[in-house]
Amino acid sequence: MIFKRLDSIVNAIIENLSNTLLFLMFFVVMLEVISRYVMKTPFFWTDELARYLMFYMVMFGSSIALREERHPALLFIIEKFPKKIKSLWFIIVDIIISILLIIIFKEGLSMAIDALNMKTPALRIPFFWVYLALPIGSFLMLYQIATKYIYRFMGERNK
Amino acid sequence: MSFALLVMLILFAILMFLGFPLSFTMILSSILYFLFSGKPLYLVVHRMFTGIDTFTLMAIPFFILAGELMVYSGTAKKLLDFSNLLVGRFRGGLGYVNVLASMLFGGCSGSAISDVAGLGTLELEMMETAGYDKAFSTAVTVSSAIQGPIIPPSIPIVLIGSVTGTSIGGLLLGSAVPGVLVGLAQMLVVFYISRKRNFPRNVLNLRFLDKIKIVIESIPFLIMPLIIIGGIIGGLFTPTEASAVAVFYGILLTLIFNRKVTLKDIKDLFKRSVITASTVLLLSASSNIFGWILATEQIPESLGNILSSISQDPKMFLFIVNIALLIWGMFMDSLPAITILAPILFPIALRYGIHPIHFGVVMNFNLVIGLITPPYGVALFTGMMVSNLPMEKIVKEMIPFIIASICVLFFITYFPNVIMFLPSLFGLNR
Repeated sequence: MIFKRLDSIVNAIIENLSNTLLFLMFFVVMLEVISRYVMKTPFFWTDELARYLMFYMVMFGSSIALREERHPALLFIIEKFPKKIKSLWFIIVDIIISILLIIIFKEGLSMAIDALNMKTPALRIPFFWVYLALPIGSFLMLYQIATKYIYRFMGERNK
Repeated sequence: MSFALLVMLILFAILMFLGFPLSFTMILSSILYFLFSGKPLYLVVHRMFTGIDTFTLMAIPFFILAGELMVYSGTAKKLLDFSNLLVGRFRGGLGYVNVLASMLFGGCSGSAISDVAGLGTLELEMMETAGYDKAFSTAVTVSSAIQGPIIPPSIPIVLIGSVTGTSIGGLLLGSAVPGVLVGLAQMLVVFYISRKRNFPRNVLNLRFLDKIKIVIESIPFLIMPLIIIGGIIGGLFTPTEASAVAVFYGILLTLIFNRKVTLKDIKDLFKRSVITASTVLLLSASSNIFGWILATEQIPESLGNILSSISQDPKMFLFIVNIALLIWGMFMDSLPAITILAPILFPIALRYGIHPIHFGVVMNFNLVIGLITPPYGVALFTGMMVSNLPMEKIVKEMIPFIIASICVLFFITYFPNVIMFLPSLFGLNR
């Protein structure tokens, strides 16, 4: 199963990356606290860097959360529905989310490209790299939805 | 009301009740609003970014991670032993121990689920071996868990502060007394029920040296809230920096007290924190668009006009809001409820002359009760999983605890000084 192995590699990368981002955020904010008490002029870029790291973490993390169905939702009504209608509805939900993610991908990418020449206030890096998290994140979320159906399709064929 | 807004609200309601993920519900209905009103979609993605690009919000991932680390370092056992030493010897003692441990644990963690999952298993085991009724034990475990997100640090409080621009330090400090009060109220319920059912006293045969050992060993865990609160009060660090320090302290405790640290455990712990934090922050991003649309369409003003035509009295307004939120919280988690409702309710509360810290603390307290009430309460679900009991059995035993919590809610609603005393004392009430 090449597909299965590839998918688990991709997911391991996403998970390790987001874990690292969370740790880096922690490290940078601790650096801010320490630099303020140790040095005369504390680092001016820690606040900004930590925020952008967090933006990337949320985008990666949202894709993991989508795979594990952890985004909060009100399920008490839909759970009362018959099984067939329920599973059909959740396919429709996935289609709507996919359309939504394609819109975010497109708009996010054009926002990033528009900001190629704009630099962030403290770090002086192009905003392009910051905004890029949005198309990357929505692409990863689309990927999770797609793989879910590939697995389902394969599972049915194996029977 | 414009046509675009009408489309947005109807779609929002339909998708929300049909189990569509709430963050995506807010984004999707906002996109429809923009399409129908001819505004550029660029604004949606840009506001998604600015909704996350906030330094104060960063306290959420850090407090979540710190809570996970505290559980992993073995806080639960130490705090239970310490509570047992203090209140275990009374009739129904383990009931008090359960509530007190949750109170102390609330100072380390900001969520109710980690309270039930981290502390609950040990508490249930302890009460079961002592011969307590399992349904009652679970009821105490679940009910006392609401202290977690009320006593600082608190994840929903940070979210309220970030979404509405209220001082997070002030909100955290304001929540401390209500959190202790709800614990005391629940102990009162334990007192009454232990008398009525003649619960056992458990005899502690501890030598003096053992007692000293328990106290000394629990000190590192007891000072966690003092570091956070003290740091904020003393102006040593901002709430976000305090949350990072909490993570640092959690790592330290884990390295010292957990002798079986594995890389896999650490990875899992980080992964859980990333997932929870991401879903909350995505909600904040969505709320930044959704709430902005509601504000530009002057929804808070219109709703405020309707409410003030019913009554000009802030007491009446708070009563209506409390009842509405209690019902809302029965069906929805506190965090999404905050992102949807806080941008609407805060401007109205301000118009009635209610202090934002007072209102924020009441709102959090109220929605947190929803975590333990049926039909939908995550802490209740966790309790069902941990104890393997059906919901009805637990809920039946929980009713007096829920009533006690609601009494405290109305007490803090109508005696704002209980909340405002600490923030005013330290000048955080701006």
